[in-house]
Amino acid sequence: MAASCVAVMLALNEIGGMAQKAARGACIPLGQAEDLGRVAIYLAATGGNVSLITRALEEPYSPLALDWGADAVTVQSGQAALVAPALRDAFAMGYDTARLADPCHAPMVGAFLAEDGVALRWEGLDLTRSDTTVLPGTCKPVVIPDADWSAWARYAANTYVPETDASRLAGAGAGLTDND
Amino acid sequence: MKDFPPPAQMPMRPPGTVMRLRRMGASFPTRLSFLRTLMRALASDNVKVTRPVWVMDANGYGHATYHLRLGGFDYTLIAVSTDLPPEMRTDRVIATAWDTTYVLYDGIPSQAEIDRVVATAPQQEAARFTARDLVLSRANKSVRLFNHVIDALRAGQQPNADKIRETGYLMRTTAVYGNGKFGIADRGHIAKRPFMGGPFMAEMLTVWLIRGFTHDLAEHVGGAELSREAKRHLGIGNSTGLGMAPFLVNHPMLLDAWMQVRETAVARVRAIPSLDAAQISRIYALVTRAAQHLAEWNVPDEIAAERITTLRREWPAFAATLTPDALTSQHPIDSILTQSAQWSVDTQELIAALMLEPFGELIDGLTDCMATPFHPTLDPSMPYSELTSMIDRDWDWACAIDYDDARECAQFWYVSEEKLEPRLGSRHIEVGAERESPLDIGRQVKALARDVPDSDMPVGRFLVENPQHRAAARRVQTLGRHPYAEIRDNLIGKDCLPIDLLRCKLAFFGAAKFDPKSDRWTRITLAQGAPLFDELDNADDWWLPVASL
Repeated sequence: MAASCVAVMLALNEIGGMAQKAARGACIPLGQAEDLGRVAIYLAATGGNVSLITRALEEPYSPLALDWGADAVTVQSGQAALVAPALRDAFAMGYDTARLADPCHAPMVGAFLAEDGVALRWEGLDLTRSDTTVLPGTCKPVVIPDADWSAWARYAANTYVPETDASRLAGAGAGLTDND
Repeated sequence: MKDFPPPAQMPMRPPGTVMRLRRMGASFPTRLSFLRTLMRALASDNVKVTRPVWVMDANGYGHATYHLRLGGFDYTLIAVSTDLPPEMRTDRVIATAWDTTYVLYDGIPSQAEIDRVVATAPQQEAARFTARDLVLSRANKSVRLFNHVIDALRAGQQPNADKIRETGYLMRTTAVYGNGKFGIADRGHIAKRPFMGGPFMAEMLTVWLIRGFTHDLAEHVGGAELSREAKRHLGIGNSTGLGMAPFLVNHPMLLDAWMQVRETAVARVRAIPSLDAAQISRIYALVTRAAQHLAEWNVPDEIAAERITTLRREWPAFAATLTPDALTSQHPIDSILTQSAQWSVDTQELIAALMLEPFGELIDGLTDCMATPFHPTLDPSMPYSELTSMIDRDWDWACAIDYDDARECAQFWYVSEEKLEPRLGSRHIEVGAERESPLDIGRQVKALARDVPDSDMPVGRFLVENPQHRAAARRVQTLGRHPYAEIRDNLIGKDCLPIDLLRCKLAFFGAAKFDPKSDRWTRITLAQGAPLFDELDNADDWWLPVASL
């Protein structure tokens, strides 16, 4: 797939806010949407691939199921937006090894763990805690492909409510002119 | 290195008392408010404000720049004044044109940068800005007062003191955007700079500079100088609506930081064993000032007016309790605050705010703790039984509510499609609740509390089976470590008044003269009584200012 040659310069706060709204608009539960927003900021601030977020938004729903082994946790099913935070939790609970159901999820899981300060090594379906240093983010405006930003905006629009004259007046509560 | 023991303090007022909407809605500004902190910072750094650019026609349309250097960094307000047709003047976020627009610029702008801002600032949200733009804002004239001031100055007179007292500002800001909105710089860009680490410092600096601009503009168009007393009493108005309301809910750790600082300050002054003569004299002076402030605070809204009437009635009775015996007793402030429970919530909060005022040396340092770089995190290792204990301890107010009762879910928060503006709808009348914004925190936690696993397990495992509870679990754990992080009321219930959320946040900004126009938007005045640009050598005695006109 050809990369979009049109890009948008954005502040990190805009990126996180839009990604979180987009995740909610993609019917990802609130907690995981919050996490995705923070990981979007991390990816943008470290020059990472923000298209991971877009792929996570577009992935069809798949219920989350993990097998909690003695030494490793194994993903049975689940979309990236659910798997990644769950595996971050698993590593925070002391696991050092995880096995994915879908190798395409590895970069997203890696991003989630990196945002938490944990480095991973992965080969195929297998993820292992690594002792390398995680790249910190830099606070500066970031260029992301318009194709991604537009996709996020489309999903985020699912969280907006179309208005009527009545809602415009009642919902925020102020009058329409102010000449006092 | 020496270790200094922290100052003594009494127990803090509990979150169950402080974090209720009605009490939050009775907040007053204190010396810990952000604008007060900024003024002290400007004074301590011996800041000088200059006006390098003034390009205005005789009617006051054009642009200007104001420069200062703070903590070794240059900041410039670029102000643009435009001829606005009266029918387009609105304080609503859906406005598309304004009397004046502003950017707080990071550094000293070149002519090209000034030209860029002059072209784009009037477009506000319709334009994109750069990381050199720290704050974006706009303000509309208070038309009656602005025109009166101009007319008076042109006639060789000072404006009518009553009119100045009645309004208190020449212009009202209707938005002050920071932290990355519309492409401006993220907060992280300046947060580590001297004096800019506190909450909303850049925004407060912008508001204070805008205030000075409004004085200059009036003098320019009027052709004469305003008296210093008039200018001091002319702050900056602000129209605040629901746009600000979700902030407190969406930033629980920041809310906890603000409240912990304020309540720690209250706890410290309660522990003061005795007062000296100067401190007693100061308290008496502040009580008198507060009475005059209440006398000058007149609003048309019935509920707000009733609360002010109660304050005015109770204040003399409270003042009468401050006998010499009372103020020379042991732990006098603790006694005063304990006995304040006999008064209305509004009087209680005014008393608490007043009692902080004389003790800057004891409490001002706490403001360093009002910003936090942290965000809520989940501890997945926590046993679910411990989470249950936290819910039982901290969330009884949420779990006792029947959210299926029509009154308890009467409202829903949402974001409007047209202007991306937060709004509050009536669930049983309006459409759109299926796209509700998740501010129903109490309901979320009650739903979590209902899904108890068959056996105790780590929260991380529970959430694999119940991923829908992740946000609520994180909020429960956050509140367990940060007890002032949650507003302990039902934010979707019929009785939720968003104005209470707005007032709490605005009081932390340093706003006063709350003038509600409905239950969901209010006018306020910022920087009224604050030092003028050349008065920073006397920068800190302007709590609850009163007109000296």
